[in-house]
Amino acid sequence: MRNYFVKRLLLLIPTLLGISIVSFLIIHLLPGDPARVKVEAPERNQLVTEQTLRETRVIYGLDQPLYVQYFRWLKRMVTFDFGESLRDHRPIIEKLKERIPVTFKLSSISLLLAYLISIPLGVYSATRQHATGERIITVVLFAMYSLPNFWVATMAIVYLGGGDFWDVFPVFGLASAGAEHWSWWKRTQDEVWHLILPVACMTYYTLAVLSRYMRAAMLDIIRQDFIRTARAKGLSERVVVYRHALGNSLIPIVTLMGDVLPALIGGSVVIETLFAIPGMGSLSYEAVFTRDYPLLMAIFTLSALLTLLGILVSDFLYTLVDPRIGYENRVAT
Amino acid sequence: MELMRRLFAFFLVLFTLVSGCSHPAEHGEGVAFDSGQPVPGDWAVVRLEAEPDTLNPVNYVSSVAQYVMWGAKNSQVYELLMGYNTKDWDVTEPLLAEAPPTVSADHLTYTITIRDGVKWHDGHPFTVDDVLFTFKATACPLTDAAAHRSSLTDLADIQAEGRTIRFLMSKPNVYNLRNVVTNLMPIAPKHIFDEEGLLDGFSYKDIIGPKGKTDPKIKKFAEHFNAHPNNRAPVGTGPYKFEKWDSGREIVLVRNENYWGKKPYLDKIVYRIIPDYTAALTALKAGEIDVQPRLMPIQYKEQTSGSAFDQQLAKMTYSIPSRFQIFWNNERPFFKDKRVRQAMTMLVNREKIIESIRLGLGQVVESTFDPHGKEYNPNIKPIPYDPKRAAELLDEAGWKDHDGDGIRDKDGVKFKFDFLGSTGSSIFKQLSPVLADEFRKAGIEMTERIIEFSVMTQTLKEHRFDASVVGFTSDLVQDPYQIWHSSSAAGGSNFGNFKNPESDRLIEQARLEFDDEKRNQLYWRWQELMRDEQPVTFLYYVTEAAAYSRRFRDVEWLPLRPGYDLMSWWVPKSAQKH
Repeated sequence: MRNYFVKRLLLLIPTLLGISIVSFLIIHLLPGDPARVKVEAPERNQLVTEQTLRETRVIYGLDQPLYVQYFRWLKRMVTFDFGESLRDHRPIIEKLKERIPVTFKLSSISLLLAYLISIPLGVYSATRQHATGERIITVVLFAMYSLPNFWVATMAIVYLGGGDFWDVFPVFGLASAGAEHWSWWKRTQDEVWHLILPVACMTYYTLAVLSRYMRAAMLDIIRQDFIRTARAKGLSERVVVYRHALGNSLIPIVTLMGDVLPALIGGSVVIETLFAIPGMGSLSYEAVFTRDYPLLMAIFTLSALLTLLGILVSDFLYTLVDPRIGYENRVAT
Repeated sequence: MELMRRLFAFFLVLFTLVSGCSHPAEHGEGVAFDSGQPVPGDWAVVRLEAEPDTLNPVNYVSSVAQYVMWGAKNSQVYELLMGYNTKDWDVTEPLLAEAPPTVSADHLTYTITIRDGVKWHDGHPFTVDDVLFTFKATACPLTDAAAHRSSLTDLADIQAEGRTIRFLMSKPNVYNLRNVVTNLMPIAPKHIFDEEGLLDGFSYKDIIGPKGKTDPKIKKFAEHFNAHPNNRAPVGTGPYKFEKWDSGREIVLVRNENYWGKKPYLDKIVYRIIPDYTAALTALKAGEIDVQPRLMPIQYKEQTSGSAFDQQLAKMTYSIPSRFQIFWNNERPFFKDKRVRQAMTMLVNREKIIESIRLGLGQVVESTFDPHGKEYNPNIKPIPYDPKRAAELLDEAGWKDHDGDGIRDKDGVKFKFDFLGSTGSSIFKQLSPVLADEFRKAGIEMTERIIEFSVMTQTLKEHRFDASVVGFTSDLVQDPYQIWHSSSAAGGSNFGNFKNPESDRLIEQARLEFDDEKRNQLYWRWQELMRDEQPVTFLYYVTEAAAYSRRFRDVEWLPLRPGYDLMSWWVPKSAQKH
């Protein structure tokens, strides 16, 4: 088993290389280039000569053939140097250091909440199928599933942000002005207060989806023979549900866990823009629109790495959830 | 805290009701706290709609960077040599220059004497070397300043001596004084950006020559300059000093107590970065920000009224030199004929478009010039909305529905074209169905083509479109050459490929006419020609709306982006919040 995961870890290297080449090509084949974006802002009606464009391309190293650019990038990456952003010439690592903690905080809280609520909720709806409570939950979950988050967030800002209605929550940023001088306790309170709306807006959709998955998986398991056997043995309903059914129904949820790692640093453009939170979502969005090649590459590589690791982790989790799953045989073949 | 504020607001209203009778509205619609002399103190918390790319005065691209660095009037953290005088918006107010530049008889040399005794925020004295350095850094082909380098095309050399600096031009051009010397170049500190004096050994001529691209010293300077730590911590000469930039959150400026000129009143300017308009307006209403310089039309019309709003906040409108126009690709078979272009304009109901899209926040103009400026020809009446006359013109031009399919055609070509827009352009989304409907009634089929924002300009410049709506924001005074001269069809902003020898001649003549009266006459004639030619359909000149806290006094709104100039704003002692 350990051999298998070591092998899988080693396999990450060629996979990542492949992904990086494809990403590099896609990024560079996009129409437009960073030099043009920089000097040709449409409302700046200035004469930009081909010469100034060429000069800017030289500064960005875009005058070199594509393979040279790629190998330069690879050489830097080997030493974990992401290079400089083309937009402001700051080291990319510095930008990521600013943004990742923000997004990580939001996403981890949101995901944790989503899992913590959706699993019991799914179990409840599966075991109380057709009960009134379950029906209400279903309606609510479907409503949550279909409401777009930009709308929910805007409504939250308008009605709860102290405009013309209730002044309950702050509407922008993750801390009040001057909070850095406050005591630790007050600062934490302030932060929690700021987090409530964005986290709620990020969580409700995931929550709805996950609890439906959980419910479906649970329903599937509960109808199987071994559950009937367990019941026939005279085990209490609690033991049946939580010891025998729950573990077995977690497999689809574990599969979804593979997406958790990249999601932790992915960020949401919509939520970040609406709540003025400087996270990874808006950084990536901006990077695409300004064709900030090195920054895009850094984001792609990181997400690819985390996705691969996420898949690996969920493969490992399968063995914990379901002891029948093992990897020894496959390694042998 | 909240309760206190509410109570305070309540007493304010009471106070107004009582005092309102005896002091008939000193500040117009404003609430009278106490009249009298401006006092220092308090902050202004201003919404910034995006994060600046950098606060390097030479390399910046985003307009928000400019708002923070020198505001609307060329002076905030950094300063320019000259600033606007607010009477006629000419650039005649000396800032870092002691007096307006003297111009040689051949209009090839501009001489400026710099102000004595000015100090950078770190105490270092300001000298002509800083001015020289700024121009060298901008012209250097290795600095990431391409967006600004193009305005220096005609600058041949700079000579500095004592406190005097001379700009030598390679050819005369009436706009060079404004674009090169006075109004576009903020002065950067040499001792900060070139602490090792790497550029000292090179003259301006060297830098624009072949050495500029290859010399290792210049290369080293440029790399250092592009990534300089002070690009995020500017050191200027202006009335406000940089305090901090909290990425994605806020930028804070504090008053410079050692400022050489008239000191402003506000202790601090805090720029909060809030991209979303709804969140920004909510934050304004909740008192978390004080100034929202750009409201959406719907917010101005419907979400900024009522007694709760009026107690705390005031709103108003101001116009800025920004206009939208529909470019017709003059090379396309249908738009080649000026009668067709006239007809297209007649099919665009501009009054109604301003009413429905801008909710009245706009003005129909038939010119590229600012309607408040002297170049603007007020005798030109916009072409009225007239579908009947348009149909006649189209018939005259030979565009008739020969095959009876409801779409006009000529020589086997159908009058069908694409309307190009970019993702996220709200005006395009609103305009396109209105136009398509109007054109369909006239027998013209218009379809939408949407491309990504980043490749929009390139597509326009390469004329790979039939028609498109484009907005331009400029200085109050502008040279029409860049958009309307035939040579600007290659690489410039003459997106529509408009080529007219008479127009070219007038534009060229105007550039060399140094007498304002005579030049304006040329422009008046040129505008008549443009009205007849209709190379584009002018849609509207933008009126912006703003809302701000009533505790500020002497609030001025300017006809330039960003629209506010906080230098004159102040808050009575009793109303100060910070």
